[in-house]
Amino acid sequence: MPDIKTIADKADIIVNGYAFTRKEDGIHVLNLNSPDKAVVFSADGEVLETTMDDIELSIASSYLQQNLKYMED
Amino acid sequence: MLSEGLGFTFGNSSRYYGYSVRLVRNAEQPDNNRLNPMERRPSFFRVAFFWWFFEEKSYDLDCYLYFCTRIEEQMSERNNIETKENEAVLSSSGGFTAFNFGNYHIRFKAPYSLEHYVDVVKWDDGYLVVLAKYSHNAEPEEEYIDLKPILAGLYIDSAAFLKPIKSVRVAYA
Repeated sequence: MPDIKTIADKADIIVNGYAFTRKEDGIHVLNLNSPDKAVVFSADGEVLETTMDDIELSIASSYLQQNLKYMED
Repeated sequence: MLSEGLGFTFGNSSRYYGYSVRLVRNAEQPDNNRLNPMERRPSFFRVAFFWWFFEEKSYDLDCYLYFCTRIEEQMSERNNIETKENEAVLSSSGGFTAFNFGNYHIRFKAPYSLEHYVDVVKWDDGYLVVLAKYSHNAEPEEEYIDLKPILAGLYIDSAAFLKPIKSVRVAYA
């Protein structure tokens, strides 16, 4: 079980329970309500690795597209 | 079917009083409406209704048969990737490699020319050596997969996750 509080604190943004964290290899997303569901997006929004099903993946992807502007430095 | 003018009757009287078949000249056709529903000749409208029904519902029937087939395929697919205790399953579909163990279904980007995995050569605590078939090569090639950085990226505790896995097999081997 990951340390949810630390991940939430370090996240760039949290949208509807999904913590988005920008790292060197891409954007890491964790479902804080279900911490075994996570995804890593590349810088251009492509899915690199995931434990989510396709429906949750499309939800997380749409949150990323809508809120990417708030993650830019 | 009885022909007009000559026919056999199987009346109650003959049955109960020991007569066998009576040959009757100019026998009348039995009244269709007074026959048992199972013995009635189907009317034109009944035949027409069934014709219309099957014409109308043939698409639904096709859909039903299609979905039955799909469900069967999905069930066999699911049985194939279902993991046993201490055994993980490796597969590939839709440009992703899938690693299934317990409730985890981990997918990560596969090489673009990967067709399918052939065999698992070695499993060493998160490090996989597999034989993979690529579209550019007729023979299977060795590929190396390190799960630890993938697990770390997905916030999964790799030590706890990998500890119970004793072996890995390919889903469609």
